[in-house]
Parts: sequence; C-alpha cells; structure tokens
Amino acid sequence: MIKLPEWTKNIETSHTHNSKEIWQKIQAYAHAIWKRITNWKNYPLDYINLHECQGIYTLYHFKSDLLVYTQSFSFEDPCWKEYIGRNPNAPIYFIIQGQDCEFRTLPTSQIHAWDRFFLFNQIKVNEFNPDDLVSRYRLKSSTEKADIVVSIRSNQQFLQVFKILSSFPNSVGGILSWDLEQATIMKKYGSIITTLRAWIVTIIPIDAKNFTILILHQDKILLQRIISAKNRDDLEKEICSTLRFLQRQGYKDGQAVSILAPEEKNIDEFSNTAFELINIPKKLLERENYKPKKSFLNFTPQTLCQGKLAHQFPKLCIKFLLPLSLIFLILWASVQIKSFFQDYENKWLKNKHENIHNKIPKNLEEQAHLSKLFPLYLDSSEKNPFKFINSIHKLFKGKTQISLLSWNSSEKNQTLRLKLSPTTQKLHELKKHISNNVKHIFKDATLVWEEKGKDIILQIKLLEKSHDN
Amino acid sequence: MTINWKLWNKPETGGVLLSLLFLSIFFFFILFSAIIHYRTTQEEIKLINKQVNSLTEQISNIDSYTTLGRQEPQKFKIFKKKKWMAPLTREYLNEALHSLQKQSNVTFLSINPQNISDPNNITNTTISLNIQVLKDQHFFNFLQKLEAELPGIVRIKKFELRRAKELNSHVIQKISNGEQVSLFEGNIDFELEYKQFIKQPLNSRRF
Repeated sequence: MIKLPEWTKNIETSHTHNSKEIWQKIQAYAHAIWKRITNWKNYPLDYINLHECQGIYTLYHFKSDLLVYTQSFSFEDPCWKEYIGRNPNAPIYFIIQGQDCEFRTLPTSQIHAWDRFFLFNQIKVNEFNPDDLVSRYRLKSSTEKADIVVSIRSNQQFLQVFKILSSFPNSVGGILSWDLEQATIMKKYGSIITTLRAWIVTIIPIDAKNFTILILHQDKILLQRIISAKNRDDLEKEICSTLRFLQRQGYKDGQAVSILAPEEKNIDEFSNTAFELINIPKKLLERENYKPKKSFLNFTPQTLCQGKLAHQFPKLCIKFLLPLSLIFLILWASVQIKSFFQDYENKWLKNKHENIHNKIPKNLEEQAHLSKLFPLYLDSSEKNPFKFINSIHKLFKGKTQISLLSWNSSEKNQTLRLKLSPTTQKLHELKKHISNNVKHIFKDATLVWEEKGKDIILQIKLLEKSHDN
Repeated sequence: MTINWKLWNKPETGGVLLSLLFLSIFFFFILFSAIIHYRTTQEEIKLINKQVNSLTEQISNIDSYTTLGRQEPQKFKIFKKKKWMAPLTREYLNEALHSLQKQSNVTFLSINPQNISDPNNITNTTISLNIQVLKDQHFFNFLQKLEAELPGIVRIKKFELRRAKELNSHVIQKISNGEQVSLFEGNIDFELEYKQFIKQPLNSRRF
C-alpha cells in the first residue's frame, strides 16, 4: 500500500474512526484528484505569479493569459492567502528577484548522457541544502560539453513561503529567478536586433539605485552581482571592475562587450569604447506581461514537494502508466515481429494450397476414396481362391468325379481338399496326370494323397502367391 | 538525454496522466489485437498445413491408384464398375445376390447375413450362403461373379462343395423334361466390406 505523508498523518492523529468522516475524507480526496486532473484544460492560461523583491510581495493573477488582479503586500498580510484560497486550481509561480546566484560549470564531455542526471542529483545531495534552490542548464554550443549548476540559497522567509505554498491545494508551477529570466529574454531580443559580442552584460533594475548585472559569455552565464549605482559612471565602474574580475575566466582587457539595458534608465552610451550599448524595450521587462510558460530555469526545493494525495496520486499513476505503456509497446513490437514472419508463412502456404487446389481434378475426393479401397480390393482378390479353383477345375475335367471340395482361408497355407472317387485302374493315371500338370499350374504346391476306404482325399497345399495363371 | 522530472510537479500532470492513460489503453489494444491476429494466423497455418498435407496425400494415393490400375487393368475395370456412391442397404444387397443367382443358375437354400449394425447403411458384414447347383462349374462361376459383381469388397472365408446326387438316367430324364435338378450342394462364407463415398459440401473443402 502506498503511504502518503498526508494520509499517514491523518491516520496517526485521528483516535476515533467515524466511518462517515472517513467516507467524507475519501470523497474530498477523490474530488481534489479529479479537480487536479481536469484542471489541465486551464493550464497554461490561468496562473498566479507571486513576485518577491526585497521583502515586498506582489501577486499577479492571469486568466486566459490576461492580468485580472494585482496586489502588493507584505509577507504577514493574510489577504494574499485568502485570495489564493479563492482560486485553488490556479498554479502558482513564485518569482524571486535580487537574490545572489552562484554558478558552477560542470564539464560533461567525459560523462555519458544517461549518467548526467544521476551525477547532478548526487551533487545536489552532497553540496546543497534541501531548501536551496538548485537547477541547471546545458550549454547549447557544441564546442564545450558542460552543464551549468545554478544555486540560490534560501533564507528564513523563503522557508516560510515554501511551507505556506505546500499547504495550498494549488500546485506549484515552480520557483523562478526574475534576474535569470530577464537576462535570457534580453539576450534573445538583443540577438534578434543586432549581432551580439561574445561577452554580454545584462543590467536588470531592482529599484532606482540597485541593479542586478549578469555577465554572459556566449551561452554561458558566468556571474551575477547586485550593485548599487547612483549614475552612469558608477554603473560603468562596477561593470569594469566585474569584467576585470572575470579576466581569470578568459576576458581580455579592452575586449568588446555588448551591454543590454532597459530603455527607461536613459543610459545613452558609455565612455569605454569597448562597451556596445543595446537598449531593450521597457514593455518586454514589465512584470505585468511576464508569462512563465517556458521558464529558463525552474527551481523547486525538496521541502516544497506537495505530499497531498491530490498531487501524489497523478504522479504515482504516471510513474506506473509510463512503464506499463512501454511494456505494452515492447510486447506489441515482439508480437509484431513474430507476426510478420508468420504472416509471410501463412501467405506462402495459402498460395501453395491455392496452386495445389487449382491443379487437382474435380473428382479428387471420389478418386481419393477409391484409391483407398482399390488396394484393399486387390488384396482380397489376391487372397480369394477364384483363379485357384478355375485351374483345379480344368485339371480334373473329364478325369474323375469330385465328390467333395473344400477350402478355408483361416489355414496358414491355402489348402484345397478334394474327395475323389476314381476306379483303381484310373487312380494311377490320375496321380500321374496331376503330378505332371500341377507343377505347370502351381509353382510351389505340395500334394498329399490319402485313401479312406473307396474314397481318395487329395490335399493341395500352396504357399501364398504361389499359384500361377 | 535527460528526463525532466519536474514535469510531474507541474499542473499539466492531469493532461500527461490522461495522455498516458490513453497511450496505455491504446498500446494494450494494439497488443491485444496483435496477439489475436497472431493466434488466428497460427490457427490458419495449422489448418492450411493440414489441408495441404491431406491434398498431397490424396494426390499421392491417386497416383499410386492410377499406377496400380495400369498394372491390373482387368481388376481395375471390375473395381470401377462397382458403385460406391449409394449406401449399401439390406434390400440392395438382397437384390444384388438374387441377380447373381439368376445369372449363375444357382438356387439359394438360405442367406444368413450377420453383424449388420445399420440395415440402411451396411459397412461390414459376414454372409453365409447355402446353395444348390446342377454343375460344379456353376458353383465356380458363382464364386467368380460374387467377387466381380457384388457391391463392395468380397473376402471369401471358406467354401465347401459336395456332390448331393449321382448323375443317372432318371436325373437325365428330369433335366430333359426341364425340371430343376441339383447335383451339388455347397456353403460359402464371405465377408463384405463397403465404404460409401459421400461428397463433402463445397464450403467445408475450402477455407
């Protein structure tokens, strides 16, 4: 039996088992599971974005991809929980901004593709806290086979948010980093309008004075920093110092850099000629327009796993159905392969049968029937004494009278018994006549003469098939 | 290739679940139909094999039948004259015996057929005949005709012919007056085997 945390807890804490209550709970579970299953139709058009920036939370509710509700609040304010409670089917995306990210390059050129997943999990278990936000992405460039592990350390307030999120019936779509998401959006936009340099700096504003800068080298995010800059010169200095720091990672002094910054900050140009400024439209970076359908990185800490039956049951079903489907598929494939050869054999046999059937005469069955009987007829005809009798009749014709003639097929050798009544004078002649002629008629015949009073009994014993025509 | 396990945490799980459920049912259905097809084909192969073997055996039997027929033309001719299409009934057998009697100048004293399970379809029987004849030649002729003209396969088990009367002037006088006289009396025991040919309906011959 599958023991889900929520289920086990309920059983342990409830001292009295009222059957009505249990039934109601089961119904509630079934309802929740059913709602979760049927909610797939709303995804990804209905969702809630919970944005966190420097301790201030903003809730954005989208319905059919349109913003229908927005509210800013502090963490202690209960109104946001109430609002989410009123929309239990909408998945929640928790988006954090201005948190320090750490990047670690993991070369995977010597590692098998199927081992990378386990390697990553191993790293997570060994090097990170279960509450940490850890994710990774793979570099697209074929020259360097490496995965980048990105981690954000969770603070106390985050842990509380995770706890609250896991208590909601809403499924958690994921935890996203606003800075990382924006950096990828800006880079994508920049690459469309111009040719980007190998080194890219993205500037994402947090507030009037604070910025997040992300340094990218081709597809690889190398560094993220939160800087404070009052004006353009401060910003340039910070960028220069960051790039100097990155010389250990391959940056050469004076190398051209594409700087992606939002339009609204009125950054016209930098004094450093190596910096190539690309302005990104403000609209692209508005939180109200952000749709986390295809997030760049999705962080979900282990502690946020929703142990509710409504969330676990579909997962368990999927984990069961996927191998089941595969087993069916493998079995089907093996049956199909066997069937292929069998079909071929069947077709060949049908053709053979058809060919034979076309060649056979119309009265085949009758002929077949007669063919079984004819050897029996020949055999019986061979054993029947007709020819034997005829020959005997010819032999004795005009010589003497036969008073008794008998024959029995059950005897070992065919034996014909004849009772003759010749006169004494004629007996000698008769014996001579028979002895002379019987060899012409029968090849292997034995004659036995017996005298019983006046009668003479002659036995002609023949070996099988010895009589001739 | 890595599996995105986070997919299972996403709200579209329901969609994935339904898709997988559909996929499982679909795969089960195609597996089931493939097994049924496999078993049907297997049965068909068995049936066709049986039919092909039967046809081959029949053709081989017919070949040897034709060869035997060429070797024994006279017997083949006699055998073919025998009718195998109709069932052998008691009436038909009696009719055939009496027809032989007329042809061979034989008088039946008694006819005792034995072991007849179905009088309307005789397949195997033993018949004992008690007969009277004027000449021994008539008896031998009757024996020959028994094999050639009686339906089915005749196997003579035993026979006996004994002289009942001596030929004298009184008997010759009777014969010349046209009276029926018998000089010999005999018994014949024979076995008769008959297998009727029944034509199979067309649909049972072809698959």
